Amino acid sequence: MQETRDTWKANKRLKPQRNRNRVIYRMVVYTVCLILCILALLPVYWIITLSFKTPGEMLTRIPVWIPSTFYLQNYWYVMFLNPVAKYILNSLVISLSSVGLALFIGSLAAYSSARFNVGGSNFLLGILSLRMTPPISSVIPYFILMRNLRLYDSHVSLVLLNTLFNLPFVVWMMVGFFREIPVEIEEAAIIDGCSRFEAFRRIVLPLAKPGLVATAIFCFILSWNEFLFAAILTSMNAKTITVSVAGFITLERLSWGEVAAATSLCIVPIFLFAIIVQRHLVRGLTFGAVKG
Amino acid sequence: MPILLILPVILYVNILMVYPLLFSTYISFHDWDLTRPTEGMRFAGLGNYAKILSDSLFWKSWQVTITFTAGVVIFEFLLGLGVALFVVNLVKGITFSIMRSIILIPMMITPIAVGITWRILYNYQYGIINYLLNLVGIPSVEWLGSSAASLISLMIVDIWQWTPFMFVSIQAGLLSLPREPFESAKVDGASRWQTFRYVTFPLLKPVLVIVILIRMIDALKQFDIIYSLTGGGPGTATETISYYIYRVGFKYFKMGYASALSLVTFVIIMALSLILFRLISRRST
Repeated sequence: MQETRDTWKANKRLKPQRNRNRVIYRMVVYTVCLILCILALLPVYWIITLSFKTPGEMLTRIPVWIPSTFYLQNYWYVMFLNPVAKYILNSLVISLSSVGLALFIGSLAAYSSARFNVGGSNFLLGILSLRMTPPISSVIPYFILMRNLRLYDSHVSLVLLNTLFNLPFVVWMMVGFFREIPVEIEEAAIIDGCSRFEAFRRIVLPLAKPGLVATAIFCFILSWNEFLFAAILTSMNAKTITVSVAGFITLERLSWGEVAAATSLCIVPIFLFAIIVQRHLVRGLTFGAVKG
Repeated sequence: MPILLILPVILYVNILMVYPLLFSTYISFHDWDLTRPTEGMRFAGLGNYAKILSDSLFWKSWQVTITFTAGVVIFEFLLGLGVALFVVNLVKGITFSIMRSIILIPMMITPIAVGITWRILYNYQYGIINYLLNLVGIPSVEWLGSSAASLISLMIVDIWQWTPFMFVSIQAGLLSLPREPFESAKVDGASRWQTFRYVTFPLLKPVLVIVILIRMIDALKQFDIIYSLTGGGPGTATETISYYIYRVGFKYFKMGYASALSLVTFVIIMALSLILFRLISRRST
């Protein structure tokens, strides 16, 4: 009794010091976090504000941090040069379709791998090895193939290929999510009279929805950002916004504002999308890394 | 029935992946110059592969690729690990969630757009990187001018984009570690460094292996940033293997040779990944 009172008094004497240290520590951590956030956002902020700058504000010795108005000429010029709406639509259609297709066949495969271990680790390793191939290695046969099949510059070819790239992610992430769902729930449903497939559709799928959402978001971003195949395999018709941005790389006859406008048109949609869905994203990301 | 479920994926992958690879191998045994369509494909046996052995640009591009990959992965790993350990006490609050979502943004931005953005930032006269350096007294750097500087510039861009991935993954791994080993370490009187070395690090190894492997594979394949930031660098200073193959196949249109290069690259990357995987995972068990 006496001992506890003594230690309590001793702790009370220590407390302000320890509290102060803790406060300083927290301030340092917060400051570091703030700096990291600023560093992360700075390039994005810069390019977006650059797109709204007047020619006078673009090339200045002292950077203009906040443009004076929403100067829209840069955007008008970019849209004059390019059918931007069409390119964005192409990106959207191709991304959504390939994500849908990859989710569908990928989840089925992931389910049978997670539950019944069909194919074993060989299947999983094989799917992952898809990810190991450098895109440039497969571009050449695809280029020739698509030309022969008359699928050059069509949405179909890009949807097919993006699905292929999304499959490793879908399988990998969904296997983890499916393994999390206890078998007992499905077995209870089967005892109650459901077929295997009904059990899958009614019990497992709703439970796996967060995983499906996270995977879908991740794959959508990946497909939207895809460049090499879109560049090689499209020309006018199925060109994606990513490829049109690449057309602005030589900064020669264009002012920076116009380049920035083109770039912003590509990254602002995905930027907003990522902010809105970030909660699901993090879940999917950390899940994959933790469970492996 | 389960086999039915998995069949679509296997079929899909086989048709769309394996067949083109075989086709590519077939092309690699021919000379096929698309700028001379009338000549078509001419059988060349192992000629292309022999050419690879004496192609100094090919081997130089591997040197650039390995330098880039090693530098980038090591930096991102150390930075990500360091920051994750540093903020490990902060993880509960809402500020942390906000910070994490902000810090993930670089990963989401289209790599091509990232390259263009940084190209503007790196500008010698008007870019804000040099402006900020000047503010603290450091003279301006010609970031995209010299060979060494452009490779470093490239690496900085990749580090900017992918350290968040390392950080968030490692931090999630840290959160999932069991508490007992840490408590017993504290009882035993371990210092912070000792706790890290003998408790945290071994427990964290599986996660670290995975994220390092993922980043290594992606860094080896890196193309978009190089295309938009340096276009291969001054001359061929930042020409990685992907960019070199791109140049051979889509600027010079030598399809046969490019196919051979692709195949050799594919095999090398596979081998590298497998070796590293075995190496690291054997050490952790």
